[in-house]
Amino acid sequence: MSNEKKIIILLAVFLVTGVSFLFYSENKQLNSTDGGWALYFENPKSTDLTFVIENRGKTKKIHWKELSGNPANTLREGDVVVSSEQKSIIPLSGADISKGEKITIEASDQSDGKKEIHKLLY
Amino acid sequence: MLEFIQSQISFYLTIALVLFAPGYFMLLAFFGKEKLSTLERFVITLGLSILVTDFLMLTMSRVGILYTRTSLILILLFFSASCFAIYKKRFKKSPETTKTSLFDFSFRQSSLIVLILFLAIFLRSAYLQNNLPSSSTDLGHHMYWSKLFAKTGKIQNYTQSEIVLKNGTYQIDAPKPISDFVIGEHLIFTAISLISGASFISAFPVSTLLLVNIFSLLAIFILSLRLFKDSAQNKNIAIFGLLFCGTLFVINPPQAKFIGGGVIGNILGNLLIPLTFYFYLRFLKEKESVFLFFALLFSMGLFYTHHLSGLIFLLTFIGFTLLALMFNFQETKQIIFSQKKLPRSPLLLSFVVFALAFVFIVYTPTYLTNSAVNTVVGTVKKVEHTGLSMFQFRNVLGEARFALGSFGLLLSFILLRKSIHRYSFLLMLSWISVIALISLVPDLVKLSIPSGRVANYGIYPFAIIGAFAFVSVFRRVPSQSKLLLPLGQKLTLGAFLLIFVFISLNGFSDNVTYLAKNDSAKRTIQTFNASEYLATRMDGSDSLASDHVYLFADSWVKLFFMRDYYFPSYRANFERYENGIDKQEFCTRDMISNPGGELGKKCYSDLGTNFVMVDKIMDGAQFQKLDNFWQVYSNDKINIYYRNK
Repeated sequence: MSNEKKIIILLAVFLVTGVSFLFYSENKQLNSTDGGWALYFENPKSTDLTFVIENRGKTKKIHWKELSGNPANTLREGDVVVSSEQKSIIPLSGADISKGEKITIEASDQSDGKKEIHKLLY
Repeated sequence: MLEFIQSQISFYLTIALVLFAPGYFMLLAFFGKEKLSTLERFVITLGLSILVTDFLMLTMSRVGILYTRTSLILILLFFSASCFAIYKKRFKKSPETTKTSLFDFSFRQSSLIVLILFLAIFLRSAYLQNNLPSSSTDLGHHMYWSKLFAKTGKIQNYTQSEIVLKNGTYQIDAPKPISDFVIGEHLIFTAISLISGASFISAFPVSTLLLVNIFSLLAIFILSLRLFKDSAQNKNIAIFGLLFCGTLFVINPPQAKFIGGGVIGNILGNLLIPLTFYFYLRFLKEKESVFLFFALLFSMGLFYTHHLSGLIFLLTFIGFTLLALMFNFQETKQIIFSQKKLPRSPLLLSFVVFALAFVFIVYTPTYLTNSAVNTVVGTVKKVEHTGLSMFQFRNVLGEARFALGSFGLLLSFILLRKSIHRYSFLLMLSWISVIALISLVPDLVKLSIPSGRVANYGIYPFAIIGAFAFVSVFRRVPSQSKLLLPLGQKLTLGAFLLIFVFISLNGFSDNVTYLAKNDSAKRTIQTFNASEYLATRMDGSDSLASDHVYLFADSWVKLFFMRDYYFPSYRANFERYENGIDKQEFCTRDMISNPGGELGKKCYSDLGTNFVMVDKIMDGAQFQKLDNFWQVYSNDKINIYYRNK
């Protein structure tokens, strides 16, 4: 086999290795990067207060509170353990909330990461 | 893991079908196994396959064949099989591949080439893996169009809607043509995604660009060999050229940064320009119409792939012709007028018919129909078009490469009249002069093009001429020959090592700067997660405003919706609202920066925008104090607000 062909074969091997490495790295980044967790209302456009804690990182224990008014009163609270790549849906109804009230959902994990979402019910 | 392996096999088979088969079999049909060495055929195959795939897909769209996995596989297989049948008919005896001493590398030379290629791929991959998943703005924009073609099964007009004030009301204007994109930048990604099933939001676009970029280095390699074919040092020049553009300043544009950044046009252009020159050069030296046919085909392909690359090629070609007439009038005139049979060549006539039919019936590049040429030719207005200083130009090219290239230019100018390489020198002079003129003094040539982008084209000719200079100075010569440097052997070796160490340190230290880990993956994933949330909850009546200033990977958000190139609307970089050229409306700015202000409120109301996605730290505060904005989503980086009308 000529040296010219050997160069081409080795180049092909390097390229396949390099490209596979990029795909593998991306796969790994997507799976292993701590994507953190997100807090959101299941139905953003309605007055429904059902919310979701979605975990894209390691398993977390998250404490949540439903707050109302200023200064805030805690209406309901609870703990939820959310496994990696899982989500926990917490159903809450806004039916018993009086109109014009701002309802805040506050959630915090054990490492003090805190997030909140809110709706002002009309 | 099994899924990963399957997707990899599918990807490589697709690459073979889209980026190798059409070009390989077309070269076989035209050349058999003659005239091109194995390495030349291998390198040209990729560039030619890109063009053939583009032309086939444009024709499919014109005749109404939708892009699907099956239709694309069948068309590509049919084309390749037809070419193979022609090859079998034309070259019945199938001679062995032409063996030329030009490509007969020694063990040491081969080892060096392999080492350079290994380093080139390794350093690029090391940088790129830190930038996955892709987050770059340009790549996001490009992938929108590729995905749109895949989704609709045909090419679509490049249009964009903008916010305008009409009769006192802000509204989304009717779509207007945009000239920023050229069809050839997108079709290969459409084909690869449809056939392999790879998602546009994956490593496949970057991997494809890496492949193209590495082949562009090889294109420079084979071009250098042909440019200095008659020199005893041709292989050394080509190897050092490969080293200077392949492993030094690897991360800087137009190398890894352009791959990760998705500067598709430049990357494709940097492959096609050297291949185009390669075929012109072979025609010039060997006077065979088949080389001119491929030179013209590649020239045409350039204009269907990237307008800026096409322009650089065209100006270089014109410059080369003028310089050839100026410095070598008699010989050049003789070459031109000795080709009397050419206009009657069936091959060239068929090309002319093909090109005319293609431009006027199949597809006319949008920048021609949009009169985009008018925006490029004329007085330079934009700041980034006003030209670089020599210091900036040097930085773009890399200090060592600039120094060597400049010396090479000087040397070639001195040797011009007496050298057997005069046409090679003239091509280099023209190539570099065009790039330098547009980058440094655009007002002089009346071309308004991003100066930095043009300067990036310079690294390839600078690498070639720099390699020529380096090898000329340090070549081993027979004792009776005159040395370029009248130094003793030990002194020459010392100088060689000293300069080589300087070049390497200068080039590699720059690479190390960019290889550090970053948190781009985490930030990109946050944007993708938030986009997914919105895409599953918004319907056609909802509208979204986003932000380019602080949101990471924001240009990719539109791929989750595929509603319009301008959806979601976004706050652009602040200077674009202030320069009086780019942004004539302020809705996109105030809807994010000051949603409670008069203009912000009016824009929300007029445009019906009811969702906003912003960086929670930088822009969350102004929304939190407004009662009509519900904070409905929050992750580590992003908040989403719903505007309750």
